[in-house]
Amino acid sequence: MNCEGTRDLLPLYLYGELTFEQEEALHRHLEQCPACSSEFEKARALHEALDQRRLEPAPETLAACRRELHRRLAAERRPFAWRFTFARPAAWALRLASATALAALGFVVGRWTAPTVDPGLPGVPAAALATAIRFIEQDPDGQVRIGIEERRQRVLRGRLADPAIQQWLLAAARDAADPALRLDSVELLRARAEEQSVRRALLEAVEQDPNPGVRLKALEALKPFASDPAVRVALARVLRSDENPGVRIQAIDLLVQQRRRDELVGLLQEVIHREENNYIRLRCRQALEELNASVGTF
Amino acid sequence: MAAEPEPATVEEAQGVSREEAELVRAAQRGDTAAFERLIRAYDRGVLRLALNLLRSVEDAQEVYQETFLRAYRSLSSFRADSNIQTWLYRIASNVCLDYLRKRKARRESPVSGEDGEGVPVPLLQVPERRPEADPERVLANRRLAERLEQALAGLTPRERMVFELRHYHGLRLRTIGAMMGASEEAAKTCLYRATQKLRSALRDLL
Repeated sequence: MNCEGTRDLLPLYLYGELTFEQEEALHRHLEQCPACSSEFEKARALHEALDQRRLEPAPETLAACRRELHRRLAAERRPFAWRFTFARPAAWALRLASATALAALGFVVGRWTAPTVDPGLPGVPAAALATAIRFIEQDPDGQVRIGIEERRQRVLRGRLADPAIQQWLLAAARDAADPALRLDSVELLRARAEEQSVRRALLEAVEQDPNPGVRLKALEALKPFASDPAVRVALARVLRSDENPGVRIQAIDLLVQQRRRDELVGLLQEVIHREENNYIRLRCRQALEELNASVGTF
Repeated sequence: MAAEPEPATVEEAQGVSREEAELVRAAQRGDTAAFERLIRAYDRGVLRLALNLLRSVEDAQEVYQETFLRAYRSLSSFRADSNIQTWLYRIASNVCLDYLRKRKARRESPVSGEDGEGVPVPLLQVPERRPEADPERVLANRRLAERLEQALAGLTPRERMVFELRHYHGLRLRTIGAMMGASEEAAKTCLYRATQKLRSALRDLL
């Protein structure tokens, strides 16, 4: 391989996109050509400089996107109902009505139709009523149907082993809007992490919870299961993509506890190359050395 | 209840899990909750792609919405044995390319981004790894960041996309080619061209 050919391949070499034969030829040339070695160092410097300009979306931005998408998807789900209401002047009025008008309508509907509407509805403040309405539709016979979400607090009591309690905790760990509730659920579920359903919920929390505190708590709960293949898959993903260095540190500490060479070498080489956190890079390097593997990615 | 078989290796993370296939089927039946759960593993990546390409939080948020609404509306065309990540990234790439092309046509430049902690920063400022770094170094880093942005702005939208997906998202060129309806070789050529342009624009700094 000549100098020109070598320099052409340097960028693809840095991305690990060369064939085995091309890499071998390139290595041989670099070993004996100081000029091309110098070019290689420059290419690597550019590669590393580009690494530094990476932006990470803030967890709050992601959470806001998810909330907005949830709202838009809910609107997508009922296209027929809205088209139907747009088509009738009475329904137009309905949509444009203020919360107060909706309250009045609820009152009327409550009196005229089957008692699916809470009789106490007219006493509900207009603003609260507006937030509780989930859909408005008109049947072909002219009847109006208003879906209202009722919220009542109930207290459930039971042991952690009780399946019903566990189902609620799993639901809270996955979907509770309040991160403190998700944190409490994960903390409690930790004691049942040997069960597959619980472990799956913990894995989801580790990878998907928008709050790093919850993700860390879920990682702690999974510590005793660091040899479980599913856990290791999740840990690898976390190490590659979690935006929080604390979470990534916890993930690498758990991953390297088990010295699985075939599984770890490629991952650690990849991470060491793009990781910004010094500790994680150091941990990768140490683990690779312990595994008698090269630090290079190629 | 019988335990579901779990992926055996780290590499299987790339494959389609049984749970994911079930979520796809439920979402195809119109279950929006299943769809939201399905995309949770990938939506951060899509947002990151848009943010890094467009360097604007507002634009990235719009791309996020458009990508997933398009995905939801065209779920019926998604084959259950396909890779959901590749499919979502393909949609996101198309949306981003539209934005980049429109921006190029208008000669607009974005105004802000977010640093590693998500704090908005001026576009041309690369987050400092060490806040205690000396002022000269900070200044040098900022100059370098400015030059990098200028150099990246010189790439075509397609080159920018391939570069972004390979450099910051670690996708293989074969996957990128498939996503963009091109061959691996075409993606390789595109990446090569992009890196050559960057090197050429930054030659004096290297």
